Amino acid sequence: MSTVTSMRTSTSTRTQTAVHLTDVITGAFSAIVASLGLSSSYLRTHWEAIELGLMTWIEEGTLADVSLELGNSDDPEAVLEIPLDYRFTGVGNVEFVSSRARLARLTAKLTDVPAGTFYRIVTSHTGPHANVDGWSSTTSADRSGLSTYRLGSLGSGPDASASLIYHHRST
Amino acid sequence: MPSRTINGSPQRSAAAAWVEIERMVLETLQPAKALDVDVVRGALDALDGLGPMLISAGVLVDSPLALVAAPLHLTISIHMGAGALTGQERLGKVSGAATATEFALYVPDPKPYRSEIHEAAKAHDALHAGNAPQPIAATQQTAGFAVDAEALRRISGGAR
Repeated sequence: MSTVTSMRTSTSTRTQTAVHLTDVITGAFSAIVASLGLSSSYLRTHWEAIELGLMTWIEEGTLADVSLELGNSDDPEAVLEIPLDYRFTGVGNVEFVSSRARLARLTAKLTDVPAGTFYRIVTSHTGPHANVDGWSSTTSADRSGLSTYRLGSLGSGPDASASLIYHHRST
Repeated sequence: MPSRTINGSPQRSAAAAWVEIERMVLETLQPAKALDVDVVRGALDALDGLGPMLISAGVLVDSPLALVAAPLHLTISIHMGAGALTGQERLGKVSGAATATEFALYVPDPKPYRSEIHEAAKAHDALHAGNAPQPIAATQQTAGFAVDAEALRRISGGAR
């Protein structure tokens, strides 16, 4: 049990957007991992670090994208990429959208991966960003051999939105 | 049968909402002198990581978690989106478990999370995957209605 994140009860729309999109992203990764029949152990073990990192970087506007990489990074089975788009204008609609139906359609069409496939979460940033415990530097997986399928918006808030791109091996 | 709804995203992160669920369970069972708080904590610890995952995946929006500590049968669900910004909350202790001698926590098990939830439930005797059985009081009310002889006589008389 932890009480670390209990202090992150949000007040501003920028913070609320970060909390909302973090929830959308972690929910999407959870659904994808479960749909592929993979253990959620990695997500559960690192949940707080993942959540805190995404919330922190979305709130500061430095998270360019976050990816769920499946398989060896030199020759991945698939990559689920979620780019972020920011609009810190302060005049946006205070509306929080989550496209769970779109996600459900995707999970129904995911190409199977071998049982026990290793996966990890990788972020990329624009400019300097806050350090968050539990995250370390790495190199993104090579996506050059993968086909790309753009699925559109995954969710949005007043200050940012997230879309979903599925990179997978052609069958 | 009391129910509580906790505001999740965008008011609270999934982990923060899960902390509120843990606090509600612990404070609700705290007056039950027959229950060992360490056993309650052990059941909640077995759901570490899985609880926030089920919140962010929207599972606890559609299907509540159920705490059964007879005579208390408490359901706990999560508000998300606009509802989480306007929903009225009653956090913390829920009355009714002081005389409980045992407790069970039922975790909804929809696809595709079913196997993970069943696996987690094996880690503690108080954890169960799936829906909780209906409270006994509700069953008795249903049975009583089914054999309402006066109502049957009225219906039968009107049909003639």
